[in-house]
Amino acid sequence: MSKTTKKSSGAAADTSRRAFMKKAMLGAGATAALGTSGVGLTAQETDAKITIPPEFEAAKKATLPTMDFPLRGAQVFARACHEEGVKALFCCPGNYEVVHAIADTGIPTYGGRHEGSMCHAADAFCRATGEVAATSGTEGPGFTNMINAIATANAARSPILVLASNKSVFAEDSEQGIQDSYQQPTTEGLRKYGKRMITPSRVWEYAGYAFRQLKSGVPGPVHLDFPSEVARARFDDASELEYFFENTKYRTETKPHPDPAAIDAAAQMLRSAERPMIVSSNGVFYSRAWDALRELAEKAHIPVVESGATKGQFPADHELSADAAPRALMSADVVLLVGQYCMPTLGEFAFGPDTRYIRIDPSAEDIGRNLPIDIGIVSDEKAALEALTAAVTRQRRAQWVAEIAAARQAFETENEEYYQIGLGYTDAVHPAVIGKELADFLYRGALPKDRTTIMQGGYGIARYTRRYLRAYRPGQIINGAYQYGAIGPDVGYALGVAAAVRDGVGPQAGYQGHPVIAITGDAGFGFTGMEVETLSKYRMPVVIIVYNNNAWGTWSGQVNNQIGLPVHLFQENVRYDKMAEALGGYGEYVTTPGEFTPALERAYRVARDESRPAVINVQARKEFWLREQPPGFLGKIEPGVMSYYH
Amino acid sequence: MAAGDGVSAVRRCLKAYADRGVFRGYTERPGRLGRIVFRFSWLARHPYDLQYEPRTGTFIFLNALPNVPARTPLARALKTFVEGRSAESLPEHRRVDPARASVSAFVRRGEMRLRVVARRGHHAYAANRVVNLMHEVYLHLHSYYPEYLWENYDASQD
Repeated sequence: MSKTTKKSSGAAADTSRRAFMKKAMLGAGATAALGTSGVGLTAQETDAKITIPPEFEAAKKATLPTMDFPLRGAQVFARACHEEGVKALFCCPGNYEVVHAIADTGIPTYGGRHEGSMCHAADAFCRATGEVAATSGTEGPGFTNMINAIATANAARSPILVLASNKSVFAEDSEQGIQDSYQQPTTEGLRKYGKRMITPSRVWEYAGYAFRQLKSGVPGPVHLDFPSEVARARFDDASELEYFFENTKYRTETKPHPDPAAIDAAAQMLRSAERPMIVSSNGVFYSRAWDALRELAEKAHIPVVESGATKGQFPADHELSADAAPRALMSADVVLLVGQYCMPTLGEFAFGPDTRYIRIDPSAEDIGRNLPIDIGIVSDEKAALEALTAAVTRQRRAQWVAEIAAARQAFETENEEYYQIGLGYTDAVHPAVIGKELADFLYRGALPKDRTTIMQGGYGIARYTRRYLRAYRPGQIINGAYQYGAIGPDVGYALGVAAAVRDGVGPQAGYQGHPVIAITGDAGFGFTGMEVETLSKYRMPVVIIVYNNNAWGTWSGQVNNQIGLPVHLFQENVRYDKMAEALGGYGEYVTTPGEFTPALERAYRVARDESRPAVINVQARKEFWLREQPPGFLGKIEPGVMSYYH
Repeated sequence: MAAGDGVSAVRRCLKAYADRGVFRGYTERPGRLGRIVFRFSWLARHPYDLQYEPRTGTFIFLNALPNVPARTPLARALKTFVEGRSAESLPEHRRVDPARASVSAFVRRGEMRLRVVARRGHHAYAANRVVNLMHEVYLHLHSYYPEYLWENYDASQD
């Protein structure tokens, strides 16, 4: 039977079934579910197109309500968020008072499929922009769904504002109703600051506590839970709040500046060094110190390697970039660590045993932790870099820079060798092919090389893509799960990055409208892949590359464990591309090396022209991680080689 | 240089790593036949024994690279890598200067051992080089044989 005949026959049968269903649903009082079109009844039979409900467009056009008294507690808090410049909210239904109040202020608000994914999205938004993003879930399961993502954001030192409704104070301890839990002990050790708000009249004051933490020192998640007495409290005027004044009264934008003696000592150490190196990390990004970083590097002729949750503070095509020169790292005799908040231990660094360390960090409490220092400088990163630039002498270190250049060349040669080896596997796509050809597409084709923001996730695949991908401007690469090592945040991250790019927030300004590239593995896609639907309903142009090797990345370490091995395996040739299509995205399935670039070009065009997500399901095989199939599973190239992403 | 001078210089060199926090749990004990064994943890929570023979200026890392059977591809690859650390193509600060020390690797009882022998009394130089060599080997394993570190160094597979 032809498809047309099948449809026709289906339509005929539809009439009586529709009538029956309509009658049945009306009988159950379900008029609202039916709506006026009856689309819900006929979608399956008529292959109806996936559509975005008109409410999305209506919401965009709606007039924002005024946020003047009388206000509920949730609205008071939302007003604080707005005045503090929270740039986005990622949530799922629940915590309704707070979520809707925040949306009513005009802060872009996104609803997704899983609170964990939305929390990951907020994390990635922060990492792409340097700004605060909020996330929310309902009490109980909505909140606990976020735990992994909160922990991941904490390891990455992302300033996310975690909001959750919670049991009323009145009903505390009673297990009355459902979803009873003590939230704050749950996030102990996973956040910078947390508070269960008890006294409704202190809601503005606690917003101040939250933003002091989010906007000063080393960033990190702040978790507030809202009992209903706080969220629903009514305040007729400001006098009913204990504290209510503008943010200049409860926090300051001034930053700690460095001790001049420490700067002099550091300048002297750098001056006498033969092979100094700067490690630029999160603090350079959050203090927006990339210009200061470049001035110091160029004046004192010091190579820079990046480490951390976001890359691009120093352009990869600069002669002083050591990002693609991993073999040179051990040569450094003095290392200046700037804003490296999550500090690898000594045995985790590529730097050698004779290396001396200068560390700049805004938190005195952290300096000297894990890594013994020679000079510690407590300061805002930008202030310290500017002071150091003034203190150092102009130098040339031609021999050292030549060593970096030679190491970079050796690395590129090795990458090319891996690519050629990868091309030799013709029955599946080797990760070196993905890395190399993706880089060719992004940097050596029609696109300006600084244009595309990349969410660089995955596990095994990341060990290849990180060898080929480069960042040329701040916020261009958002690294994957970072030090917490979570598998699977990647599609959630993609949403946060895409929202940041679409709204041109922070360093993403100027790149609006351009597709984002996201990389993940098949294991990772299994965690947050449903958010393709979220990307689709918000018309986010994202190209997601799924490295599908039919297995968890752990497989290769268990290859001789015959009984336990299935734990590490999936079904083979799973069609994640079709899943994307079913969720409103575009799908490509690539099974040979020659198909990859054409598929990437098509997917990019769809993402750009139709503003929707595209999934490229790249069929690999698990055996690529075996030593017997060179190059096999590779190590990492960052300075903190034994850490996850440093 | 007399052997006694070598001992002092070697002690100073290694103790400096401990003082800087590079080595942890640093101790020294006499070994057989006048040797000295320096024990410390360093790149991993794993005791490294660096055996020093003052008479010959020989340093051997014991317990550092377990489970490397002789004549395996890994043993051959590591031996080649270690012996290549004297190559003139390497920057001076990354190589073992053959005029001052020789370098080799060999397998004993299923473990690979790194050996640096001081020449013309350059004991402190050799001590510095053998420590750096161990670090180079560690990075090499990380880059190209991460599974070895998972299995033998309790490194995280994640």
